[in-house]
Amino acid sequence: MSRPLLALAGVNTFYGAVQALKNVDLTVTEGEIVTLIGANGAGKSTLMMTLCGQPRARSGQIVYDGEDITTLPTHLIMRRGIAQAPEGRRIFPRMSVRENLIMGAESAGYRDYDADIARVFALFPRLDERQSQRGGTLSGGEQQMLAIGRALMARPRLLLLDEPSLGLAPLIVRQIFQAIRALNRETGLTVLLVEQNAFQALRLAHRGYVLVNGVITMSGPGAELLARPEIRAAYLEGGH
Amino acid sequence: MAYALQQLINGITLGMIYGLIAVGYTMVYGIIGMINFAHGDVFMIGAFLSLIALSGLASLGITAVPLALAITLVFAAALAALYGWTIERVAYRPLRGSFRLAPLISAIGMSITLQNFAQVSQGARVKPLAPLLPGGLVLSHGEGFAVQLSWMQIAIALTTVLCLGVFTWLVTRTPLGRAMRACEQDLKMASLLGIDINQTIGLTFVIGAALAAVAGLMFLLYYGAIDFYIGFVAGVKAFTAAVLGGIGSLPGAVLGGLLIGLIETFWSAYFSVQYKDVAAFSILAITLVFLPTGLLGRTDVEKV
Repeated sequence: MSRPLLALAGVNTFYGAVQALKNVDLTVTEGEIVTLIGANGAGKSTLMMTLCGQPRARSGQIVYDGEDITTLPTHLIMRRGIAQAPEGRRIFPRMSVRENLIMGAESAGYRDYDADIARVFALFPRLDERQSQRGGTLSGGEQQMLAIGRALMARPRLLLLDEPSLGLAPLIVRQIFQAIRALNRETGLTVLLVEQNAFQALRLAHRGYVLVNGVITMSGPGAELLARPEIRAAYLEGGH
Repeated sequence: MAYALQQLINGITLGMIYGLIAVGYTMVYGIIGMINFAHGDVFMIGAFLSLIALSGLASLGITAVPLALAITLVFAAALAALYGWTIERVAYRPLRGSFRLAPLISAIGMSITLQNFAQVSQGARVKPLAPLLPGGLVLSHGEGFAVQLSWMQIAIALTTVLCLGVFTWLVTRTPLGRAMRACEQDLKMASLLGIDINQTIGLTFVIGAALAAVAGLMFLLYYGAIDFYIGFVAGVKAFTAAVLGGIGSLPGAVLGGLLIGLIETFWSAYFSVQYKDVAAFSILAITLVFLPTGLLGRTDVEKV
């Protein structure tokens, strides 16, 4: 097996005295889509943010592309080819759509960002139409597209997506998932996807992890997890 | 009428000085949500640096006024910027992430430190400066009162407009300005995009301090006298201007500065010079009570 692009080993994260991640091991290999599913408050977003150093892992090790990034400052982690579309989207509300995208190019050093913006607009034509609109006035779905587009502007090797489907209409969710699959197939982009929408996430992903109260309880290929009765019972019953 | 016109000219001149200082308050507040109480004292340091530079240049025989002023401006702005950066690095950055009052208390400490430093190193007495640009344009002679627009006032207005122009360009058009606005809107997200937020915050202090030093130079030229205590009163008035304009808003800071300058000048002219500071600070209280977001402050609700 080739060296993983990202490897977490025994990671523990705390908020004050509350432990949010307990001894988490997780790997992502180059070219994979890996999903992390779990209920609200399971620690999925904490894991995503711990990767980026906010909050810092209290113990354990995070290795990206062979380099220990556990204690690296956030901006340097992001400059190594990791980009995140975070929980809550965090669009800059008083910047235009275009400026939000340009901000995404910061960690790539603004190389060829006009071409990259054109690529994002091709992926999400809605953003093209709203180029000069302020980020804060976009609808939820448009903000999500912008958050993903902004992350892509960084030309990442590893894309972290935190609940891209949250609060969106099914049609838009499908559109976004299709875009993720296309990016993975066509450019070999590696994706770590956090989702509550377990069914769609597991169908999309090559592998999945299940997080319960900060502990990884199960992992395996997406299709295999999808077939497990306990997964069906906990995350898939009702809806979809 | 002529008298009122004169007050208008004087008020705008004073307001520009306040506006330049207010920009520094509002910028730092916007980005880290803290009132930098030492900012007024950086303005005072800028005034002293200007005085030192002007005396130095005079003793070197550089007496061409525009050249001397230009060199002084650059010298004072550069050194004050260094002060600004150092203050942030030493007194505020170590306290980031601490409880909210900690950097505020540290700022008050910094303010006292700078005042005492200036008092000890420069003496407690008022330092005078002979007028460098005497004379001006006489606009009208009517009613036995000559309305005058002095060269000094024109120089102050031109310098302020130039500085604010460069500053606006920097904030709206450059990667640094974009990074500053990003930090102002969402510090955590900015770091997730690879922005070095410590560096961006440091540069915000640098820019604010440089503008304050420009204001310090203009204060020195306009009043022809400075002491170690000028930073406190001017600082609190500029802070009032920033609050009146809407703290966090850059155009608001300039507008607030102009209004405070006008209010103070007209109050002194028509009511009482002794109570001019009362007028300015009443504005602060009234704004905080009835218009807490200021004139141009943000009230817009953002989608979450």
